[in-house]
Amino acid sequence: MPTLTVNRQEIEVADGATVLDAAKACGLEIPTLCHHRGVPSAGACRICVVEATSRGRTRLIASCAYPAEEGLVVQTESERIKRSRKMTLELLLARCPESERIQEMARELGVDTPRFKTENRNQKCIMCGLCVRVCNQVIGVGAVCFSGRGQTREVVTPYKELSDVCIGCGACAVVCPTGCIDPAEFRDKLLERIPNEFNCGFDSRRSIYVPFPQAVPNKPVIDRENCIHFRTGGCGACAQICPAGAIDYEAEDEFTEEKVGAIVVTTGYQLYNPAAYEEYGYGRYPDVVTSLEFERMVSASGPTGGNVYRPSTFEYDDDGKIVGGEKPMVCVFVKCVGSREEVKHKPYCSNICCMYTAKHTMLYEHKVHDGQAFVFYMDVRAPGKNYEQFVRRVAKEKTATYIRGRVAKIFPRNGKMVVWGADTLSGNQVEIDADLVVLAAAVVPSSGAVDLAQKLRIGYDEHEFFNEAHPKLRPVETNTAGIFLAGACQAPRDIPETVAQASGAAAKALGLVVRDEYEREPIVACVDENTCNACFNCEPVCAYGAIGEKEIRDRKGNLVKIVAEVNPGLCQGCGACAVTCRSNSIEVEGFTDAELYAEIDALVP
Amino acid sequence: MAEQTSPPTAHHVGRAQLLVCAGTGCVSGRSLKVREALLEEIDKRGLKDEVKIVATGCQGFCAQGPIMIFQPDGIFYQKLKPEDVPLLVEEHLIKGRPVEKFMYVPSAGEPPIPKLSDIDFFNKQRLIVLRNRGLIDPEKIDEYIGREGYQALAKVLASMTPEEVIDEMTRSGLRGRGGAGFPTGVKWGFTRKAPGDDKCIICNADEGDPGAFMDRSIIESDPFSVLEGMAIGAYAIGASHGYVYIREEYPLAMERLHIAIDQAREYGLLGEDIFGCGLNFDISVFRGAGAFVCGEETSLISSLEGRMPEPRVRPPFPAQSGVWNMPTNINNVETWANVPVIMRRGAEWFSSIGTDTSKGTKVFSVVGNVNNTGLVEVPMGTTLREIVFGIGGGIPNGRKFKAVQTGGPSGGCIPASLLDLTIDYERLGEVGSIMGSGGLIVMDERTCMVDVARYFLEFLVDESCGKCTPCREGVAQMHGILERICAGQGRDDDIEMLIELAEYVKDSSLCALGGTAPNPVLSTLKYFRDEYTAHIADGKCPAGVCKALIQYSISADACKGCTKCARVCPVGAITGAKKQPHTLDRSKCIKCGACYESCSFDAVLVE
Repeated sequence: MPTLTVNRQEIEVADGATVLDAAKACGLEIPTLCHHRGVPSAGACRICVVEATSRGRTRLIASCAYPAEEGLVVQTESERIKRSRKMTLELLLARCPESERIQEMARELGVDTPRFKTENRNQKCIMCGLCVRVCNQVIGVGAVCFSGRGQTREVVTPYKELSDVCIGCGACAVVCPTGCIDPAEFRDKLLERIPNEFNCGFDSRRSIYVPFPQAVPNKPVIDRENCIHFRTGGCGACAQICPAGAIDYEAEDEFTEEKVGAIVVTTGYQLYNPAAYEEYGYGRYPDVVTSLEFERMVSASGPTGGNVYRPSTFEYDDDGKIVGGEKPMVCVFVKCVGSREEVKHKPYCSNICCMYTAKHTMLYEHKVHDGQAFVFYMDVRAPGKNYEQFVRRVAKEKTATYIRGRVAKIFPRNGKMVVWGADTLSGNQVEIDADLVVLAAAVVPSSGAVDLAQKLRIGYDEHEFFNEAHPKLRPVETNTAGIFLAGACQAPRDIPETVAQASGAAAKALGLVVRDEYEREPIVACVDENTCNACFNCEPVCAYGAIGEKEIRDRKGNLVKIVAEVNPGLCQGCGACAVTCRSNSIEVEGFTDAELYAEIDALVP
Repeated sequence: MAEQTSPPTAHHVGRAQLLVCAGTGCVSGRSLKVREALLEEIDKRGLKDEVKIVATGCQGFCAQGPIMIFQPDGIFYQKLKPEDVPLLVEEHLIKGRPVEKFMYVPSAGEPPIPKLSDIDFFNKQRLIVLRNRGLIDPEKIDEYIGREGYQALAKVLASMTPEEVIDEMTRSGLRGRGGAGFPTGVKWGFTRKAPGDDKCIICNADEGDPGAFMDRSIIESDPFSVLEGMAIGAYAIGASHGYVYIREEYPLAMERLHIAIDQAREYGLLGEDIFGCGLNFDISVFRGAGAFVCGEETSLISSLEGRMPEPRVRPPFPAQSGVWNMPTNINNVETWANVPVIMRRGAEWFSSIGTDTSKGTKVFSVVGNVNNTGLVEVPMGTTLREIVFGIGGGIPNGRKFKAVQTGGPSGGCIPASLLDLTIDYERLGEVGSIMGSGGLIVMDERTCMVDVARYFLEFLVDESCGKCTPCREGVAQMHGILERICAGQGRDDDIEMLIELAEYVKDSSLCALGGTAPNPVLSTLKYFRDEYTAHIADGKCPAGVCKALIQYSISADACKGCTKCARVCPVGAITGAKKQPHTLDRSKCIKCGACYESCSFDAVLVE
C-alpha cells in the first residue's frame, strides 16, 4: 500500500494502482484518451501527463501507466503540463480534424485551430492502440495489430484481410476513444446477438446479465456459453471493473440438501406453442406473436419501452436494443388458440385468455390511438368479480370489434398479415388485413412438471397439471402429506385465484410447522422388526415415500440387521405395503390381520 | 599501445605473420581475395611452413583498407589489391625489403611511415576494449586465450563472490557505453537484488546509429571478450541465460559470434558447470530486424519476446521485470567487452583512466569529412581536437572544420569553438549533445547545418515506432518545418515553432528516442542559428547545400578551361572551349553539384 503525494495531498493507494488512480482518489480530473479502465495502460497518447518527482528528478510522466510509487510527489496542474497537453492536442487535431472527441477536448484545453498540417489528415484514428491492446491483452484473441511504424503505422488485421481469428466481439469499437473502428472491417461475421429470454428474444442481452428486473436474487449471472472469458480465456473485464470483487469465474452450480417440513409447489405454467397450428404461421411470420410476447411489448420495462411495433420492422441500435419500428394500425387478437380443442389440442378452457385479451385491446388502444382491434372468440367467459363489467366496458368503449368465430388461416400479403375467419353470428366469411396478430395460446404446465411430480410422488392429470388431494375438500393439498399446491401448476388460474390458493397453501404449511407436536392420521402402517427380512418390496409400492430403512444395533453398537421403517408422518394408511409384504411383517395399525379375523369371527359365528 | 605489442602466442609461430584485416570494411574492399592471393603465392614460393597468414578482425583504419600488418616487423600496408601480392611477397618476404609503395602516407609529399606504431592514427589511441583487434583470429578461441583471455572469468569464479564482483564493477566507475551512461555495477546490483528465481542478461548489439560501427567491429574482431564479459556478469547477477540481440544487417559479426559461442561451449566456457565452479550459463543469439527503436531496452525486450518493438513505461525497469518478466540486465557490447579487463586488472587500474566522472576509454567511429575515417579508442577526457585532427588527420581537401556530431541521430552538433572540449558524459551533455554509443561525424565548411538537422530528423521520423504522440506527430512536424526551410519556404516564426515543438517532444515523449530526437535541431539552433536565419530571412544557404537556395556559376578568372566540369555535368549545362573559361547555363542547371565537387581550381562558385 504505497503512499504518495498528489497536489500536496497525501494519499495511500492499493498496490498496483497508477498515478491516475491516485489522482482520481483525490477527486482530481485528468484528461485521458488512450486509457480505458478495463484495458492495460500504455501511456501512448500523452494527454494524461503529470509532473512527478522522485529521487530529486521532476519529469513529465503518463499518469495512466506510471505506477503509484512510495514517496512519489505528483503535481497535476502546472504550466508545463498545460503546455504539453495543449501541444499534444494541437498535433492530434492536425491529424484528426474530423474527430468530434478530439475537437471537444481541444476546445476544453483552449486549442482553436492547429498551426500544423499533416499529410495523414482526415483520419479519426489517433493511434492510441486501445483496440490492439483490448484484442490482444484483454479478449486474448489478437485479431488486430499495428502494422508499420511512425507515420505509416496503422491498425490492421493480418495481411489486411477479413480475419477468421476475430470473434466479432466488438470490444475494439467499445474502447475506441474516437469511435473510428467498425468491427465489420475485421470480420464479415460479427458475434451473434444473445437473445434476451425474458423479453421473448425480441432484444438482446450481454453474456453477464440480470435475468429480469425483479429477479430474486437481483444479481447478475454469467452465461458461460457466450462469455468471452469462458470461450477464449481472455477478457475478464467484468472482474476488473467490479468494485466489490464479486466476479468469480471458478464458481460452479452445486446441490444443497435441506430438511424441510413442508413443500409448496408453485411451478406455474407456460404457453402452448401455437406453431402447432400450421395455418396460423406462428414462428414463420414475425408479425404473428403470442399474447405473452405482446405483453412484453406493452410493458414499460419491456424491450420496446412500452411501444407496440410490428416485430418485422424492429430497428436496433448498436447495443441490440430496439429503438423504433412501425406501429401496427390493425391488430387481430385470436382467442382459444389450443384451448377447448378436444380433437387436436387441449380440451380445457385456459381460464385467463378472455380477460387478458380484453385488457390487451385496451392497452393497444392506449398505445396506438387510431389503431383498430379485432377479437375472434368462441365465448367470452368472465366469471370473476367485476370481470363481466370489464368486458362490457371494452365493448362499450369500442376498443375492439368482437367477432364470434374461429380463424381458419393467417398468411402474408403485400406486407400485411391476412386473417381469414368466420363470423358465425352473421354467417359470413371475414378477411382482415392485419399488421399484427396476437394469439391467445393455451395455458399448459411448465416443462418438467411430470419429472417433478414423480420426484415428489404427487399425482398429475392427463394434461400434466398436478392433482390436488380432493377437488372440493382439499384443493391445496396433495395426496402426499406435507406437499401443497398453489397457482397454475394445478390448473389454469388467474392472479386472484392464484394468490388465494397460495395463501391457503402457506397457511397449511405453517399449520404443520408451527406446532410443537405433529398431529397425524392415526391409521398408519407399522413394521414388525422381529420378522421383517429387509426385502424392501414395500418400498416401491408406497405412493407416499413413507418407507425408509432402519438399522438395528446391539448394545456395543454393532449392526445386527436392517429392517424397513414407516415414516408415520408420510404414511396415509392405504395398506399397499401390508398386502405386498410376504412375511406379513407390515400391517396397518387398527386393521391388523388378527383384528380383521377377529371381526370376521365375531360376524360369522 | 602496451596491449598491442606482444604478438599472438597461440599455435605455431613461424618466421612471419601476415595479419590481414577481415573486418566488414576491408572485406568489402576485397581483403579476402588478398588473403587468398597471399596463401597461393606463399604456397608457390614454398614458404607455407614459415609464414602464417591470419585473418583478423577490424583494425580500425577502415579508410585505408584493405590493410595488412606484417609481423614481427610491425609494418603497416594499406590499400592492397590481390594483384599487388606477388610483388609484396617477392620484395618483403623473399628479399626482406619492405615495399614503400603500399605504406601509409600522412599527407601528400611526406615520406611514408612504415611502422604501424609510428602512425598517429594508431599510436594516439589507447586500446582496452579493442585490445585484441588485429592481433587475433576472431574465429579461434585459442588465440583469445593466448592473449590472457578467460583469465578474468577464472579469477572471478575461483576467488570472488558475486557481491565482490559487483562491488569491483561499481568501484571501477564503468558507465554504460550504450549512451545513457548509467553506472554498470549499480545496474548489476539492482538486477541481482531483484526477486526472481531466474534472471537474464542481454547484450545489446542493435547498433542503429547511421555511421556507427563500434559494436559491429568489436564483435567482428574480438567476440570472445563479449562472451567472457557476459559470463562474468551472469555469475555476478545470478543469471542462467544470456541473449545477444544483434541486427540482421551484421552477417559477419553474427557468423563470428556463432563460431565463438560454439567454441566456448566446446571448451566448457559456456554451458553447464563452467570451470567446474557450478556456474551454469549459456548464450543465444537473437537476430533483430534492424529497427532503430530496438536499441531502447524495453523495445528490445518486447522484440525479443516476439512482439512488436515498442517501448513501454518504466518502472518497472528491466532490472525488476524484463524478458518474460524475469529480472533482466541489459548492457551494450562495448560495456560487456570492458568487463574482463576490469576484472583482470582491477577497479583501481581502470578508474585511473579517464575523467572524474567518466572512467576508462570510449570507442568512436570517426566518419564524415575527415581524412582517417575509422574506429578509434581513446581515454575519456580526450579532446575533440585530438580525435578529429590528431587521430583523424584533419579535414580533407584543405577545407575548414565546421562541426562534429556526436551521439548518433539524436545527438547534437558541436561547433569549432568547442573543439577543445574534453569528451565525457557530462561535458557532452552540457553542450547539448550526448555520448550516445560513440558515433562521431565530422563536418566541414561545405555542410549546411539546417540540412544536417533535416537529415537526422528524417531518419528519426522514419524510425519512430509511432507509439506516443509527441514522437510520432511532433518529430514529423519538426521535420516538415525543416524541409520547408531547406526548400526556401521558411516562415518568420519557424524557428520559434521549432523550439516550441522541440521542447515539447523532449519533455513529453515516452522513451529516450523521442526524448533525444530534438537534439539535432536544438544543438544546431544553439550554435548555428545564423544559418537558419540566412535560410529564412535572406533566402540563402551559406554552405551551398540546399538546392532551392543556391545558384552555381563559374568564375571566369579562376577557370583554367580544363573541361572537367563540362564532362561531369549530367545535363550539359556547362559549355566552353578547352583552356578557355567555361560558362554555366542556369536555366539547364539542376544544381546537382557535380561540377562543384570536380573543380580542382575552386572556379565553380556557389551563392
